[in-house]
Amino acid sequence: MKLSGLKSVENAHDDSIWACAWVPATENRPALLLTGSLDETVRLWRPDALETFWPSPSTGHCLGVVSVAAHPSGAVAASASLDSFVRVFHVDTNATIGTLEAPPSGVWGMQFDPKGNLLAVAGGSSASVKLWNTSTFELVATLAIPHSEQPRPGDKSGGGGGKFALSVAWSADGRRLACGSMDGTIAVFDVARAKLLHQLEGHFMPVRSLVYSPLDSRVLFSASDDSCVHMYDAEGKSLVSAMSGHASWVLSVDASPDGAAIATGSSDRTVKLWDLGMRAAVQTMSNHGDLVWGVAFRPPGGAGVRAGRLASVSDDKSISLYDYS
Amino acid sequence: MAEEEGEDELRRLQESVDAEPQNASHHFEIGRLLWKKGEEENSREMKEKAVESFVISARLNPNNSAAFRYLGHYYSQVTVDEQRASKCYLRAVNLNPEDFESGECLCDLLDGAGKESLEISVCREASERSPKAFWAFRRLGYLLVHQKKWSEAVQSLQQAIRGYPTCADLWEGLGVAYQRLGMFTAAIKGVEQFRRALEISPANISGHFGLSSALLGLSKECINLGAFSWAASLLEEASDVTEASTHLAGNYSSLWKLLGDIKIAFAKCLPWIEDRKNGENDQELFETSVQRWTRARVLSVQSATHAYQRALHLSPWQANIYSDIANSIDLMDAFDEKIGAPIDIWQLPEKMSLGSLMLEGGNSEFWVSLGCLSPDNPLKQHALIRGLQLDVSRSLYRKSGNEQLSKKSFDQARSIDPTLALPWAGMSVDSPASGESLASEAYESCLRAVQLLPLPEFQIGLGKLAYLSGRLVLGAINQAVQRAPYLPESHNLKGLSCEARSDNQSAIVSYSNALYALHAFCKPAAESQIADISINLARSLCKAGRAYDAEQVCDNLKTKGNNTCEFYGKRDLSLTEAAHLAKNIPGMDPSSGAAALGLICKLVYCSLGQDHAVRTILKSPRELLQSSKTSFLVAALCALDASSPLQSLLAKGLSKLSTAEIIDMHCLTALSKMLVDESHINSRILSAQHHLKKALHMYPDSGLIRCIPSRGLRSANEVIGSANVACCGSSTGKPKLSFSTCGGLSVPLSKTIHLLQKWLHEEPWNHTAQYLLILGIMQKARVEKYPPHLCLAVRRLLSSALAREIYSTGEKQHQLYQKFQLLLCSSEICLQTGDHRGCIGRATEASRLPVSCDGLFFAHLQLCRAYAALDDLQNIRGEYLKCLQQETRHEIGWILLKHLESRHRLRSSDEDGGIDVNFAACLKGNEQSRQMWAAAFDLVCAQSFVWDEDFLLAEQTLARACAVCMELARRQAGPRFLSLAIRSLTRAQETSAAPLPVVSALLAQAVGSSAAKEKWAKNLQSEWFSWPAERRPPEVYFQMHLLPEVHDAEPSRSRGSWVLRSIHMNPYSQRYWKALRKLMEG
Repeated sequence: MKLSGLKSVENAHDDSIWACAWVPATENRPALLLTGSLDETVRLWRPDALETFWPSPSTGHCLGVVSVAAHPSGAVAASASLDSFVRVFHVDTNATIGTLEAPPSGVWGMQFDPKGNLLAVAGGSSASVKLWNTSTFELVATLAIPHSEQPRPGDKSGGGGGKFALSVAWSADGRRLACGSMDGTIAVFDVARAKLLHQLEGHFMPVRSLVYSPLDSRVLFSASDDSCVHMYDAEGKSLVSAMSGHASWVLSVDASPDGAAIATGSSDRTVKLWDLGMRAAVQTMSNHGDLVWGVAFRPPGGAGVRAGRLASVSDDKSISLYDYS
Repeated sequence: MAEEEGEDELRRLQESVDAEPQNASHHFEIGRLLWKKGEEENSREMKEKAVESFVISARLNPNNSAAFRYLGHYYSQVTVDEQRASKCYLRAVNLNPEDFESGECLCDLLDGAGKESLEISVCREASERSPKAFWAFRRLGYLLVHQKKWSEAVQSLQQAIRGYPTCADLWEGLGVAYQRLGMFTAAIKGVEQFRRALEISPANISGHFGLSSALLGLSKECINLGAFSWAASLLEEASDVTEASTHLAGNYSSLWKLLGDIKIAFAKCLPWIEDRKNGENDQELFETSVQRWTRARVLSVQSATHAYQRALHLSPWQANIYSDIANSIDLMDAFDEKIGAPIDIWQLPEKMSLGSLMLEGGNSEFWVSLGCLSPDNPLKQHALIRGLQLDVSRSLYRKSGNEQLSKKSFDQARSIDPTLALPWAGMSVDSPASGESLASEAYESCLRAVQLLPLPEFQIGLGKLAYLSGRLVLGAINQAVQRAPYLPESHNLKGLSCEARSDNQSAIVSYSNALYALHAFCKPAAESQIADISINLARSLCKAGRAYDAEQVCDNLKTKGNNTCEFYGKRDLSLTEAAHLAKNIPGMDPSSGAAALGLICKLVYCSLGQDHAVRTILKSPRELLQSSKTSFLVAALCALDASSPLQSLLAKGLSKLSTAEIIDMHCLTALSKMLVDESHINSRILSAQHHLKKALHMYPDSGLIRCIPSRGLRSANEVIGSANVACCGSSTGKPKLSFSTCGGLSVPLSKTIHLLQKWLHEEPWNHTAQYLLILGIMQKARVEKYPPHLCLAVRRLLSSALAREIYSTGEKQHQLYQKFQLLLCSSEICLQTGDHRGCIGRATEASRLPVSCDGLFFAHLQLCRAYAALDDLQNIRGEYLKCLQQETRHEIGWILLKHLESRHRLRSSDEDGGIDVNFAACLKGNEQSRQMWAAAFDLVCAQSFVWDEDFLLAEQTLARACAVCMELARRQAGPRFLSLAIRSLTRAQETSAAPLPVVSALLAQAVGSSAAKEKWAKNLQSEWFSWPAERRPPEVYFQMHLLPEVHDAEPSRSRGSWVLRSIHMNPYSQRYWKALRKLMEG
């Protein structure tokens, strides 16, 4: 289990890069890397050379792009910016399919469900997760996170106990949806019944990123500003283990397709690889020069592609690609 | 009938054979028919006849695998010639690898002959040749499972299941294979496979056994991970399954043993779950919940013992069941705390383990368990040594109590197997004993141990060590509480870690739990422990603001005669404490003295206020102020009150600080400069910004701070953002025509917006960041004349910002003001995008907010503008009057109102100069930019006079404005402008001019009209230079064409090209076109 640097592109965007996601392979092309940046553009990259896929970067956002997500089919992707709307577009042509907005809800993290029927969007100060149908692009459901009874220590919004939804993750079987809040709690929803199951506690600072284990829909990983990575038993409502090692906020977490490792990006400017058997960091990559906002493992699939790939993006405007083996 | 038909067919075939003796298929058909008959009548002759036909057919067509199959059947069943049979089958399989019948028969034959390797190679060959040879995959899978080649078996079995999805054995085999693969993920899959198998055949004992053992395996993985409640739920399911199968078949000892194992595992892993009611516990509740938990575990162990006994009863020859019983009895004793009972020479657990040893003397595990169970020291040591001899990879000396040896053995054990947790834990216990410096090393090894094996004892140890070395391990502590709720230590540590994360509520609960645990389970409760925990409890109660409760806790302690000098919950109490402390200070050493001083200051500040705190500090000895913390206190107090006598102390303190502290200090100073006095807000911000810049220049490394959540640059962010917004706000009307009026704005607007976005991205919940970003983008939109995409973006941002809870419930003045501003922005955006109704709605909402200052003026002004856009004269007048009532200190407000007033002729005849008077009052208070405002006001007035067609007055006002402008120009624009300004001042009476940059053009005109051609040219040229290159308006180009051909500006240009350029920039002006036409004609 190790990472080795393959390629790094300096100045891949004109400003800080804030989001990255892999677009799954389709029949006529391999998996591609999608990045979003403060320079208001979304760009698509061809691995392993990291050449741009589109002739010109995608525009359409007026403010920085905070989140990108790809449909499991690989044909469609979405990007969201600070001005609170989601642009959905064809990956191959970069043609806009539609814009999703549900004012006054903000838009932060988002993810398509594993079957590709729904898009979940963390609604920021609206304290809810919006579910959009991906064929009609209509708002299907709003999963609200209830107020906590007592103000939590991390609550900086000033409003008594109001949540701020930052991140979302779908479980591998598509039945559960987790949503990370600014106060460090993680709400777990039963999607079929559109019902809150419970809230996981353990973090005391904002939960920036969440990912379910690809193998088991009970296991949830979370990255928080308290510089810890937690592993939860999301059904049993218990904290399984806490992994510490980053020196500052953990901004992003992703689980490897084989389920044996996770990778994290932090504002201490490093990318760490964690062995889940040992529950310890086995490798630290420090090639970035500024906050690492996103890490993403390439999903398996595509013609003859077996090698694992990890991408990371950073405030230093660069993208790095690693071989994971 | 059927027979006859068969006869008929036989006859028919015989005929066709006779007709075509070389056709293999006819022979084959005959053979098949005969064989079938032979099967039916069980006659050997018939079969022999059939074989003849098959032989002929095979000879004619050697590629017909079916013929060989029948031949194989014949040899194996009729003549029992295995050699030949297998050859025929082999041939059949080789010809058609998907022929499952011959494949199975061949394998049965080989199996019967014990030729396993041959069997595997046959299956492998067949499976490689065709992916649909499912029989081969199945066979191969079973064989590989048999040979314990798990990972290969999984592949084959998976392939086979595709062919036989309803074969329970296959699912089961796959389950076994996954389970044995031993990986967590594989174990999960194993459980699934067993479930499938049971769905297909629900009464399958081995399926039940497999499922429950798979669940047991999975739960062990879960325990290793630390997911105890998950493991417990798995184990419950497993024991249900096993019990169900014991009903099906009660005579398998292995089932009972499995049940015992499951129960034991359940007892060990069942987590204690805190049942909170209203966030607080009481003693009784806590005790009952812990007792319930204990009882559940004891019951589970009891049933485990029973299950083991049954197993033993069924198969008394199995040694390991003796040892299992021994272990379970021991565990039960441990739960029941019967350790204090009188020690027999041969206790029950010991006897049982001896029983197992008698059966298998060479098993090291039994020796070890005997060693662990025996209360007798020499026997223990002997047993352990014996175990060690048999298996060197164990480290057992720790238990035998030999320190010296234990250390060596730990090191050795670790080098043999680094994944064993015990050695790590042992090392961590040893290292603090050998010196404080090793605490962090101990922490590391303990952490490793906890990660490898989450036992509560390890976790508590880790918690203690972490507390020593100042780290947070909430996860481990939480688990420790779940596993060992009867230990007050674990609750106390949890409280400490909650408190460290400032989660006071949970900390209070944990501390009180710790107290309950102390009272309930540690009967001779140590006084010191009670005191410690109570102090913790009181402290966290204080922090949570429940002074009364805290005091009660203190009182409880005081009655027991403890010294409670740590509390500062209640005011008078704290003061007495402070006084007490103050008396003691001179006797303390400097560092603790400084800390005490800090505490006193805090107390005094909280209870008596700022002045008293200042006085305290002034009274205190100077050398105590050297420490960094005190310096911060002093600086903070200085910032709050600039005239405080502490300023002199501040400089002295700075010398001893570290870099990080200095950076913090600089931020503090910057803040203090912002707060400093009543001067103009811009200048305050700028001075703060300036200071920050200087600080950054001194410590360029502190850019690091941006990565770390530090207050330092965050406030810098805020300063820059607000400065930007403020500067843009104060720049005059049309930015395209004017220069940046704010010298302090070093960062360009777009850059600032990026900075603000970064800030918002780092702290999405920060409403101030969002607010400033909105204002910034508003400015940008204004500069760019409200392009639709920016309007859309601002509108979205506004709607999400306004929906924030803080604005719907917030009572604080600055929140109200922010909301007010946002509403006005929103209204403006609506106005710009033509949504008048929305605009009016927002502005009305804003006007209803109880904002202080003169905000309401602007709300009404906005309403005026909205109605103006609708040409609703009635309402404009109403709002105008409200504006006049509200009044404002801001000049810009009056100017705008004046503009509106004149535009729509709102001024009624009976009131005279309401605006003018108010404006004059405004100007009096403003020293710095009085002239600028006056000029702007005059300009508007002039405009209004023009509208009134009162040209005389207009001219006068404009002249006045111009004069003021000149004055401004003289002050601001440097030497090049100077002479020009002085000259123009003398001519101000003759001219009617507009504000700043246009001045020289107008002057030029003036000079030109007085027929001084040289001066005119000069003026015009200076006008050219007075504009920055990218902002020259078309008019300047146009004017330039009037100049003689050769001049300094751009020598190579012809007159035509000047006009062309001006037309290019403004194609709508008829004048330019006319001039061009003239030029062309000329």
